[in-house]
Amino acid sequence: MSTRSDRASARAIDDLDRRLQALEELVAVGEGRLPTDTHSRAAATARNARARLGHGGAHTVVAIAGSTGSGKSSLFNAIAAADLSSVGIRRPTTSAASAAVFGSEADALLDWLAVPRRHRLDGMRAATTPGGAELDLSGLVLLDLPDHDSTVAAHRAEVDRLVQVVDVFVWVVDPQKYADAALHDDYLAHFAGHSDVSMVVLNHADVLDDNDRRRALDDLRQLLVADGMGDVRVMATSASTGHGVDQLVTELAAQASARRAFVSRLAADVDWVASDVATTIGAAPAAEVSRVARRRLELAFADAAGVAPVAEAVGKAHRVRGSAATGWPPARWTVRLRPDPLRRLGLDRRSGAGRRRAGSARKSAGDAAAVARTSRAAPDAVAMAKVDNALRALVDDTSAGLPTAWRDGITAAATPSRADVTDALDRAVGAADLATERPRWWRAAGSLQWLLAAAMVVGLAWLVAMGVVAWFGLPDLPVPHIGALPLPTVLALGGALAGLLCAAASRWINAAGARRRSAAIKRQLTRAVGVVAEELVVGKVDAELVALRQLVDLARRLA
Amino acid sequence: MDVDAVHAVASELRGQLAVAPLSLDLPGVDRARTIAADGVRQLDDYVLPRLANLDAPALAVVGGSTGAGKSTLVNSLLRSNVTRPGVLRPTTRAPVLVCRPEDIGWFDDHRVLPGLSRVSGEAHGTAEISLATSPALPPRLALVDAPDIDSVVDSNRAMASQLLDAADLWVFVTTAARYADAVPWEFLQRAARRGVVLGIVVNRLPPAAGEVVDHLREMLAEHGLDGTPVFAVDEQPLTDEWIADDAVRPLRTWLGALVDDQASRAEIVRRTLTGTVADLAVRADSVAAAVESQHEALAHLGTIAHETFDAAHERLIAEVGEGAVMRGEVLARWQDVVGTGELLRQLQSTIGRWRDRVASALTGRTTGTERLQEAIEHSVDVLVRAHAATAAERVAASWRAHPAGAALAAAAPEPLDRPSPQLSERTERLVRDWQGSLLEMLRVEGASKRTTAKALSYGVNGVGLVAMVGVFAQTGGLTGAEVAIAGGTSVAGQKVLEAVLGDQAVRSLSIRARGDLNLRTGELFAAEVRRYLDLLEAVPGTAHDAAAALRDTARRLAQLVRR
Repeated sequence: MSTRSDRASARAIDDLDRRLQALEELVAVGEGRLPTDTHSRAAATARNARARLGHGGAHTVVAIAGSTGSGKSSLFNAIAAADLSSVGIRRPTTSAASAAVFGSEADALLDWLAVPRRHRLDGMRAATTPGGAELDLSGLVLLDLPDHDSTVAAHRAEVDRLVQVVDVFVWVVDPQKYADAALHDDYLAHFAGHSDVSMVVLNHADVLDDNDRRRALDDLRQLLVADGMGDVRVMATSASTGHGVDQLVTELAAQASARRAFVSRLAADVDWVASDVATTIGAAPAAEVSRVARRRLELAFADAAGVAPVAEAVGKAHRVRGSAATGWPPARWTVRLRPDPLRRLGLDRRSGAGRRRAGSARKSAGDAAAVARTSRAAPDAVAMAKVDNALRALVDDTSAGLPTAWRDGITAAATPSRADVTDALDRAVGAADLATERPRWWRAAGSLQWLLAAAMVVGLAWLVAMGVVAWFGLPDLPVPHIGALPLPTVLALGGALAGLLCAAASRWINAAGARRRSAAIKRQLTRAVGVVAEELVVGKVDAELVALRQLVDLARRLA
Repeated sequence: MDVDAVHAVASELRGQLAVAPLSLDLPGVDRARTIAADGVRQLDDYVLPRLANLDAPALAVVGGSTGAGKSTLVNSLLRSNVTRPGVLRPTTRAPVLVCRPEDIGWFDDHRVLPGLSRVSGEAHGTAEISLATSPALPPRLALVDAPDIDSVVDSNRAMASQLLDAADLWVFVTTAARYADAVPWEFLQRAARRGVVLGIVVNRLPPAAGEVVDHLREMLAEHGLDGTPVFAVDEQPLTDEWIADDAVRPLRTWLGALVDDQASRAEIVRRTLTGTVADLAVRADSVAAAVESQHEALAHLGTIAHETFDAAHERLIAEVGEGAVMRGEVLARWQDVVGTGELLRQLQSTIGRWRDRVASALTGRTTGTERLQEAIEHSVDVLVRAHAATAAERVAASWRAHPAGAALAAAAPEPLDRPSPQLSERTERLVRDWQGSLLEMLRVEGASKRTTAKALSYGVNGVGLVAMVGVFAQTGGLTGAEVAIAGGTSVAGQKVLEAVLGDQAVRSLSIRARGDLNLRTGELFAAEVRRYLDLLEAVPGTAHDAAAALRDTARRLAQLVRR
């Protein structure tokens, strides 16, 4: 029998422990995500429950609470069968809680409860009524609380503190005060969930005759039903005549030996927090930022980073450098008159460094911490405004239907500082490999161009030489012919023509190369900007969403 | 005391208290609302009827805790069962008014306590009072057995409070177990403030409990009620449900002496009335303070909305002025237009325009000018929306940090941290309207021949476009060329801008168009602010300055009774 009940209580403790873990996680995750008062109540409950659980079930703490003058102290003395608390006429009497410890000492527990006034009593209590049996009260810690309704506010504060941490409540009322609002509204209705660790005792029952007592008890029960405590045990006692005290003591002895009251009380606390949390918790948010919102943000970031103009400039630079390498040599000087597109964007510095870094450029902005700022102009106001709008759209999209506090959290996660955004975007662009690759054929084409140019020059020089010879009337030089045409003419015209054709062909190939290069850079920068969006916004919002979903899940586990 | 004057001012005060604007949820407003409502009720129940009938019988209200034995005490005083005592708490749920048979005329109409309907048997409802007569009362005195002040039944507490507020004198009943409870002392403090004539009965005193009475006297002295008569009634078996006559005789004698002759009764009535009116003046002052803070809160919240949006609008103007719109997308499209020579065609020949249109119709592609126009519209829209949204966010954050603002924001039909849903639509229309008025301006200029022939030769649409670019490119005093250089535009673009903007007519047109744009965005932002102001104006009773009027009435009332 006892092993079965031990097993049951071990199971109850395990169960409570699991829920407490959920509660503790909830407190950790709920910081800033639950309403402040709900969170602080949950935190206090978790703290108290963990501490109380740590003290174990060896002792059961029973609080005698009630109005001033309802006879708490005399009932306390009657239960202890000893004169421990002073009983007085002048109200309020008891100003600080005192404890009666039955059997083994409970100093650690009482230290935690911060009750300094303690009495040690034997575990075996003699019966009050003649012929009654001795009762084993070992493990019972009885607390005599101050009143909650006198003009001394400090008493109420002490009661409010202790009712949070005791295991069993004995609410003492009397025929005059059993319907007081101060008791029902402020305490009984509040602890309605704790009815299986509560007892309501109508003390001073000796002032009523049997009939009136019955009617008063019925009326009291009705009031308790209205408080939501319909199933609480109600009994009538009289500390002065001893009426009902034995029954009360038997109940308390049963609670003390069952050693389960503290688990029930803590479980009721957790229930209460769970229902409190349930009212404040919203529906589970989306698992992550939607693709649409993310895409929109990436586009805005790409705009702010100037991805399109940079890609365009890279393409243009490719064309310019290609022309410089493969253009028709006589016309190459014109290329130098055109400003380098990358230099105009303040990105030229990269052309040397980028080659060394080639391959590492796609790494995240974190790797590229060493990348210095480019000398590009800061993103313009319209682009930043677009970013702001995209961030807001992301918040609206993600937080639809969520409680305000959660929306605030998501807003905070989705509000990177403007300086961080411009800096990260600039790094992302700066870290990209913008260097113009010099295709191998450029050298060949360049050499060919020089060859053709040389042929042309040789042809021209030959023709000039021929002209000079003819002008001076000297005998004609021997001119080899290719077909019908003289060789120098073929060299000069053919070289020029072939050079121009070659240049045109190179130009055409370079244009295609520039488009390819531009598209590649655009892809690369878009990816880099996507990484920035992920790091600065999306990742943080996703983390917040994970936390919120965890909160919803924990609240469900708690209930 | 000039009774008629006091009556007039008190009626005025009643009217003002009844409509005191206290609908914002500021800290402490609940208290102010209670004070105002209690004040109105007390004026209706007691002050105004009493001022109208100074020689009506004195009303003594027997009040106190549940279970203190009020009903038993009343029955024992009168030696007749006019009210029903019991062990169930709270026993008396509806009040009983007992008067001498000849005084019934004073109470059966609705002069006193007009809100309570009279019944002759047992009253049941929450707004009923049962009337009974007893010849055992001293002449010109009526007793009310009031419900308790501290049980779980809320209506009892409200009724007791109402009755005690309407009393000429209080008989406050407590017990040895009760006398240190917090709730009764709140009522006793109210009695002290009001200066009501007060007697305290300590009922159910256990044997040898003289200490209790001493302690009670000490507590009374602490609360400024020293000298209050305390009547001790020992716990005793009841005969015929009555307390022994000896035990209640001191109380009966005291009551009798108070109303014994005309002069002393008038003195009691006057003392309580003066005290109550003076207290009412003080309480009305605190209501006035609450009303004032409501006004201040409304003004504060309105100022926040105004200032935030004004600042946002100024930033918008500054950004437009610095050429923000002329960068990025707009600049790229401008270069497209200038680079491809489309602009020159647009400007100089109708044929060019037709060719572009045919080309765009055939290829399904929009012309560069159209894309430029779209880019301008889009940029202006983006800027306006971002600034309006930032301002909305800031106003919402400030409001939410304010207690009254938080409640208003929570109750708002649409989220306040976002611009109004119609903003996008309005911005688009704004840009369209603005362009329309720009073209209209050009047409008027053309008609009045003030524009140079060169500008006119460009055609209205072409010049309109250039003027629009000019609006965004010309910063205060600087020319478009400088902005274009800053934005990295091409040489061709610079030349065209310079050439076209060099035209005095186009330049002045651009300046006017920018002023027009600022005006329109200003209106747009004003419409956004309107949303917040509408919420504030929907708060009832905020139109008139009630606080000063209330303070003035309270001051006059205090002066009248002091005289």
